[in-house]
Amino acid sequence: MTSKRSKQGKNFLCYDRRSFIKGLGALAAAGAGTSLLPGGVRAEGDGEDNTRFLIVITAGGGASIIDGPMAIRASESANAGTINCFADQLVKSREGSPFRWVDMNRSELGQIPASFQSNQGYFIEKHHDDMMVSTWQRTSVNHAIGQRRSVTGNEAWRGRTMQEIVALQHGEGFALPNVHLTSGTGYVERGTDGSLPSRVFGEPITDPALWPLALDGSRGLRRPIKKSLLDRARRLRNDKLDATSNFVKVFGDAPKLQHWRHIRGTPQESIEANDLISKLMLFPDSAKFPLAQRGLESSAAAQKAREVFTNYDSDPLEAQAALAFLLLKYRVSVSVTLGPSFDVVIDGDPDGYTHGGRLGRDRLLNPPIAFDFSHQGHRSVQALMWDRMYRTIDGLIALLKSEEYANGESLWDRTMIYMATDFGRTKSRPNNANEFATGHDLNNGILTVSPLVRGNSVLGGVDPDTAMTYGFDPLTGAPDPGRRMQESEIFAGLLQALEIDTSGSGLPDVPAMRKA
Amino acid sequence: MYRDSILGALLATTCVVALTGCDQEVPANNSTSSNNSAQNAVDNAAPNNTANSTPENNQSPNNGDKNNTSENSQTENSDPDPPEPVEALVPSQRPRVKFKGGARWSTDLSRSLDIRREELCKELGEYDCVSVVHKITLGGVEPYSMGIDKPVEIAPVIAPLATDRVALSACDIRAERDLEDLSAAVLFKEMPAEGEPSAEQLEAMGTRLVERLLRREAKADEVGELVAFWEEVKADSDDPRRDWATLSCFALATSVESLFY
Repeated sequence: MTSKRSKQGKNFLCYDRRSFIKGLGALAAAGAGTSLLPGGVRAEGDGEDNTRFLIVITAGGGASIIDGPMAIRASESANAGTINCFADQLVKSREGSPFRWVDMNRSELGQIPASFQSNQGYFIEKHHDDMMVSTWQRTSVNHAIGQRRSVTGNEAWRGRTMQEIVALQHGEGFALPNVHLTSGTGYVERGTDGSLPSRVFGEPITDPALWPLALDGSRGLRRPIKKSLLDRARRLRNDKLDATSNFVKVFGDAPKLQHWRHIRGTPQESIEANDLISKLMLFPDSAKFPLAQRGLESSAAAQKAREVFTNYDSDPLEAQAALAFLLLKYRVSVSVTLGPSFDVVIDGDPDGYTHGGRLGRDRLLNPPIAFDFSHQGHRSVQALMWDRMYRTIDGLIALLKSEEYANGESLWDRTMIYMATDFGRTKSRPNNANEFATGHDLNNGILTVSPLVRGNSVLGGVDPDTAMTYGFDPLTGAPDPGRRMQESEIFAGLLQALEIDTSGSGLPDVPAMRKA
Repeated sequence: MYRDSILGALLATTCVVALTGCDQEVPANNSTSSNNSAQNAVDNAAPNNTANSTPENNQSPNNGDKNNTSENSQTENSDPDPPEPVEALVPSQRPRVKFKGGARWSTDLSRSLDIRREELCKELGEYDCVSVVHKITLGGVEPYSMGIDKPVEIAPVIAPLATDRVALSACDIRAERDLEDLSAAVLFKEMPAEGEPSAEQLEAMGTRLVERLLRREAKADEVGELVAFWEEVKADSDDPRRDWATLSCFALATSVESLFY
């Protein structure tokens, strides 16, 4: 990788041949199922492969930690009637684990006549050893700002996003190191560090079904052009027509032209040479997606992903998760960001309303404005959405555990799933109300699931009388009721757990969040 | 059209400011008044005029470059010892270009190829390439269903692949239609029904391709490259007439001059 400074003083980072050869090796290794690593063609003695993968799953609207793994029992609180807590018998826990859960069976989602069942217990039973909750105090209750700060630690490291940082450190040689499967939120905004190479900025994928078609310049077209001929035409364009163009002679130093001419070179060759159009083709051949008619086929690994995320065709979140798995499996990306949108998602035909004017049971997969529909019905919305996040994370873990990375290690052994969220929700409720509306609150906590973090841990705690969380000692993890964790501290702790070198960044050391 | 005007204005400015050998100043207001005046600005600022005075180009008078005005020819012919060619083009000190984006570029392509915009390219035969499948990749927005209200700041890595697909599809449609009915051909009128095209026929088609796709007059060297491309295609293709037509069109349609302004 080389950094080039243009005449305008802007940095352009180009993939050099070595980076791309490494990438080709990584992709080839992944495709062949061998034990070669993303740095698999490195020269001997390059040192230990410390590649790590980050999955950011976005809980847009505000996932309240006290409606998830830090639920409060009424008997613990002096103000049980007016803070957000649950009847004792509803709050379950597991011996030897600090996490709690509440399973629900409700007939309404706020004002929406949609019955549903939510389950959290199975997830904690399965994954408590890899779960870490860390509390923090946010700095904004504006959605877009809160979202952004959840991935920048409030611009703690020159405004870089976590995804960019991971792509920079671990993504060398990966074709698309940082992929955004969700859109239109602060979680996927570009960071503000202009010195970063363009390759680490998020690559948007807005439709997992059709996006893979853009991974080859010709395959699947009405009359595919022979590859060798297409290469000749590209050389004619790149080396002759453009090279002698007056337009290029005058404006050739323009950053956008330089970037374009760069990405249509080696990066494009790498994507085509590794047959990503086949490897990432998530959807099967069907009347809706007539792949076979165009000489295309579904990815060999897609069936496995579709079996886990069975609603891939109707639920955008499941399609995103399935494609996220393929992106990691084939060593295309080291950072993927996915999440539910703010749109309503209904499983099947909305005519489910015919059941006496009610939507059929468990048919409403995503409420309008996701977690933020807590403005209308906090308890039910948080229950439904926590269930939705847990199910998605559970599916990803299952898939990643089933894939060997190298030497008996699974992909999961190198992955962190960070459930990012905008902020918390207000802690109060009308006297003993079982359904109520909440606003935005700075106080909250986050869930991280990964073998790389201090598992089976709640870092910090919650005051049951106020439902406010408190912090912990960044070095030891000991609870500290007088402390509130800053966004930069949690940001640093997560990055360090991903083996990011934060020296020189000004970020604090937070060993308490790393696996011992 | 807009691109041409801007380009003309910029190049005209370059000409006025930077050219030492340019003896024909182009007022800025002329350069924005029409395609022709914009083209004049390009021609005057560009090395075409200068290049035409070089011995190399004088040996190829039939080069399809219409910049060879009689005035220029007279000057060249009457001067037995022409001055050394001057580098006419100076790189912009502050080059700023914009990506046309899928919507604008595909509209240009539609007009250039005389194919309805919605026919240019359909992925899997069903989904419009520009307004649906590659919309965001090619700088589009979709605020209602995706919350994307600003184009991507930096072209995604796959953007050139997307433009390749759109152009290949569109150019192949034009080639297919033209070769099926040469009497009604739009771009490839000179392609023989059978056998190989002559150099003159290739030159005529190459010139037209440049004029239609880049909206300016063709330069001799680029037409020469398109003519030479025939031999490359012939050596590797089962259907060289159609492949040359499709790929020559493709190379120009996806050139940076076609994609940026």
